[in-house]
Amino acid sequence: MELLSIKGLCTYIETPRGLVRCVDGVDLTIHKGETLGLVGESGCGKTMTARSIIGMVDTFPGVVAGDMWFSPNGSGTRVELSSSIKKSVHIERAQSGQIFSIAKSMEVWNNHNRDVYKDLRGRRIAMIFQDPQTSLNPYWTVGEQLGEAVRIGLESEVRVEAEQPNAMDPRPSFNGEGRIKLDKEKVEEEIRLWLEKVHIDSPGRVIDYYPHELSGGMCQRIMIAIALASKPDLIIADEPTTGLDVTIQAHIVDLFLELKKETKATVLLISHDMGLIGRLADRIAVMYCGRVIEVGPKNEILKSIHNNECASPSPTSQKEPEGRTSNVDSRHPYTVALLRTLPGVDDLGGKRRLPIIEEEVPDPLSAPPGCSFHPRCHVLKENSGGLLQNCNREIPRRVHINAEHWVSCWDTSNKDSSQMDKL
Amino acid sequence: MTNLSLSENWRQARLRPDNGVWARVRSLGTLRVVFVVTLSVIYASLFLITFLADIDPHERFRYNKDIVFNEDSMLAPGGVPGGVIESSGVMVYASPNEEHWLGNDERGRDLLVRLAYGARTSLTTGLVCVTFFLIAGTSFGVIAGYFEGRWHSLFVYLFNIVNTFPILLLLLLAVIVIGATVGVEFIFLRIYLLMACLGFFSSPKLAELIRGQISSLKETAFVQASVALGLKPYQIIGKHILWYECRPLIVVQSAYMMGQAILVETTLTYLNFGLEYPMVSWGLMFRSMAGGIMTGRFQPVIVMAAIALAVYFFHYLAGILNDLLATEERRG
Amino acid sequence: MDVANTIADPKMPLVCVKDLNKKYQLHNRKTGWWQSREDEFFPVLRNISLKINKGETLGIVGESGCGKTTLGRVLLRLTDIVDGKVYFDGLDVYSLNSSELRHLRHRMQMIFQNPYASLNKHMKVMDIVAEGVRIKCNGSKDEVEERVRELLDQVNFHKDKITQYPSGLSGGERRRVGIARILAVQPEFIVADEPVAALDLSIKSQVINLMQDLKEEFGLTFMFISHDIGMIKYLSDRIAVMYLGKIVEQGSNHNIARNRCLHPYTQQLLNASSYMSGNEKNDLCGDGKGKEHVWDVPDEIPTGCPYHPRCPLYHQKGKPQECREVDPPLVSIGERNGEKHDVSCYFADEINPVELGD
Repeated sequence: MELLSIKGLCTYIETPRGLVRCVDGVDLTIHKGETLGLVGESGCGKTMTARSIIGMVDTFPGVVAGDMWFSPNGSGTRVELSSSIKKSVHIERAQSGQIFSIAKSMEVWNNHNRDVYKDLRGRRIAMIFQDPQTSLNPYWTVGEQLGEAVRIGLESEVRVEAEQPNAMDPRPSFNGEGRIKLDKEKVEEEIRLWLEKVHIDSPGRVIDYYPHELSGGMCQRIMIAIALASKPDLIIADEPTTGLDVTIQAHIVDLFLELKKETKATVLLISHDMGLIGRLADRIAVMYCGRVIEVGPKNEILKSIHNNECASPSPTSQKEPEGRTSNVDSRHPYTVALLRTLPGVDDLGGKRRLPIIEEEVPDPLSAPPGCSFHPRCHVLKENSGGLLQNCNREIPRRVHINAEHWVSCWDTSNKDSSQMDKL
Repeated sequence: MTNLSLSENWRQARLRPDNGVWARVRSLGTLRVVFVVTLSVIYASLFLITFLADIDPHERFRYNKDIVFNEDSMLAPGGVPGGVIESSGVMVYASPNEEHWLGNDERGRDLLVRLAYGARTSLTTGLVCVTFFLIAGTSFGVIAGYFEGRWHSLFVYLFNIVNTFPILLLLLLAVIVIGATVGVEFIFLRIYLLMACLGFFSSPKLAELIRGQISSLKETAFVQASVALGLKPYQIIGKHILWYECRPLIVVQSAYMMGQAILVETTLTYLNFGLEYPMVSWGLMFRSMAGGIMTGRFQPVIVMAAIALAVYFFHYLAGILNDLLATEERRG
Repeated sequence: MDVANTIADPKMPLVCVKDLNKKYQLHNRKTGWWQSREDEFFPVLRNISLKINKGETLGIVGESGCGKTTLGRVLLRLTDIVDGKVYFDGLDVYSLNSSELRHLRHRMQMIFQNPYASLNKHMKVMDIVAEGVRIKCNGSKDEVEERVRELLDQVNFHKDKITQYPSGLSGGERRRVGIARILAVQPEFIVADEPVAALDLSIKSQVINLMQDLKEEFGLTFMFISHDIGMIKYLSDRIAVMYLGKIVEQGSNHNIARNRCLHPYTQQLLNASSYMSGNEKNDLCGDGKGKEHVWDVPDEIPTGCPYHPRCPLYHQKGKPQECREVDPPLVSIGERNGEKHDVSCYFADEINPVELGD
């Protein structure tokens, strides 16, 4: 059951230095109850993807184009998130060299957002932001902020119980019409409950604290509580553990797993930390330079990590666990190279040089033509010919390795080329 | 429409050229640039004329029936001279004519020539003021910024106290002292000393700003990195802090101070505390022609306009320089 | 004394720290500006003692707030200390006058945490590195430029970007410019404060390899400061673990490994790190999570052992009194594999029981 379906999402922003293609044709699908991990380095467009989904692209002039559907509760009804202007025409025009600026000013963008997103943000789609201390309102106490979210969650419960007639939109609208009276004590009790659920000791004290008085780990947990308390259908977590200490990260991962089991939430997890994704995600999508280059189940993409072998296939690694039949690595060269650069636990004292990916991540204003990874690709450096000649000319088509795993690469030496998408 | 075709040498496209000075000037807007440039040209030419041309600000106008008066001028409709001929044969308050292009003042001297000389005086006195302002301000600011703890607090208190004092009172005090000490033969020095005092008494404002910048920049990573590198303190403060970070501040404050200097000089001279004959300044002209306002003469208005325009020009320049120099921070 | 030209004695430790104490003043002043009370100070470093030998790499690990960055700055005399001594090559760093100190600074350098903030954003790359070069070399403009290019080449910095400003560079490139500037003064000792934390994954390994190369080529002594124990273990010969201003365990890289370390905090760090890097098979981080433990670093330093509110051993043993009352001293437990090992815990041999001489 699909909760969110994105096809061909393009977010282009026009800056004085040129057109920045933050998101350049992203296709994603999130099913109910699963955790999709969106991985990539900084600058690859994953945060902009999240913001395009939730309608918080606030730089203009720019265009967000593509097909985005969100079906609340997994029910059949769909809410179209993308702009109401005809989509495919504009993607074509944008990619061929003409920009159509939908949002020439904040006013246009805000009007669109108000109609589509007012019932979604904070209610059905919740977001956890990257820097917890600045993402919480510094003028409100923890109790007040959590209380907002808790109220939304409680109201939705009451509303559902009362069986409001509008099945499409059972939640009260933002301007306060149809607000349900809630018991103040119940709200406070719920706030306390949520603080305990996220393992904050002495919740009674913390309720009256302001965000600047708390540490990063506590603020992040409060943000998680806020996101979950409004009982959303989809949670978008944008780099939730960046900047926190590793012990706190481990605790937050445990917390996430615990809460996921309890609330059966659907999560879109965005991070550059492979370890975090490896723990939490069911499926992984790898992004590079605004495009998704690989999507697949976690076990297949992170296979070197989860089979407990050294991160690099060097001769000194432990021997392969038995039972693995195919040694063929059908992943995208970028994924392979990235995983190789992480030092393993047993790499002590710098004895082994870490393999590197040459050059730097390209500037978004001047992305390489064709496959954006081709200047750094080790496969291209070793081989050439055949389909690889297209690497610097055309965007690679997708190759479906199996039903759930596809790669966008011209190198079909270890993949079945008959599974390539006919475009 | 932007052309999006992706170039093949995308590697070259990575290296972008720097923003030049002209780009920054262009970003200010044509009108502002034209305004500033026009006024500076006028000011500069007035200044230079006093050196290059053979003119005398004290020469008086002897009325002569043959001199042509400007017929179409608004100031002398119908070609009537509009002035008054005194018993000595000198015409005062004349309208613009072919000898004196803007007419003449209450003693019959060429107004335009006197305006030029006045420009020169205002520029020189202003420069003296700004020099002292700069030197004193940066010195005090740097010294205050260097210290920490109690001495630092002491400096801050001092700066605040002097800042809040009304400057005219301090200057009157200075007038008394200078008048008492400087002898008659150095009378022309008085105004320069006064201007130096003005610069000195206004310097705590600049000192406070610089001290604030130094204090806040002391803890930044790049200054710590310079300290760790082993640079000498004067290099760190002089180059990294003052030149790169404080330069816009200093330039803007100096331009503003220049405008203030002209105003103060005018005020003091009007109160009879500043210059005297035989020096020429706009303040002096205004003072002597002040009575003419009551009798409907245009010459005082021209002098007032000159003063106002000069002060406004410097304040405006301060604003423009702020924009011009501040854009450096938005590089890249 | 000729500070600039002393060559380090190989038998003596290059850097030696004895009983270092440093306090920060808290902002909420309750007394007048001429007085100060004890409780207005927060002890950032408490009785730190360290030795670093020439050519060795010491790694300092700890969570944020444990004082490791302050330790690095104190070693280089970028801040003042209250108490204790810092010796660099036999010289007492805190008793030098300013010109001697400046010459000493050329021998010990620091890589700062934020690669962008540590460069003056108004200066071009060429000027930034030339500033460092001019300290040592008084040549003409061409000679200086030549040397700058040489240095930037050594750090694999792209030649075309020499005239750019730091805002036009990526994180890895800024880091490289900083390293080039440091190398220009030819230091012997480098304190690297989170050198790769702010960088992209694919750039991290480039910078790490660069630092390894420089270490081998110039025989540098490093002190790495990081919160990422995986990176520290990869790079260091010896490791010191800090918690709330104290060193709680110190030993060789080999001995501070999972199931070989002796302090419960080290064990927790290693568990969490291995869990987060995906090398752990368990589903949950198995160090006794749960509601009875405190997760976060406390604001005020607890009495007794600073780690006891979060310590699984403390809770397992039924909250013994000595952990609550007296801070365990850092004791040497003899040699393991020929390397000294110090721990600060009353129950040091109960986490991973080892035999001495193991």
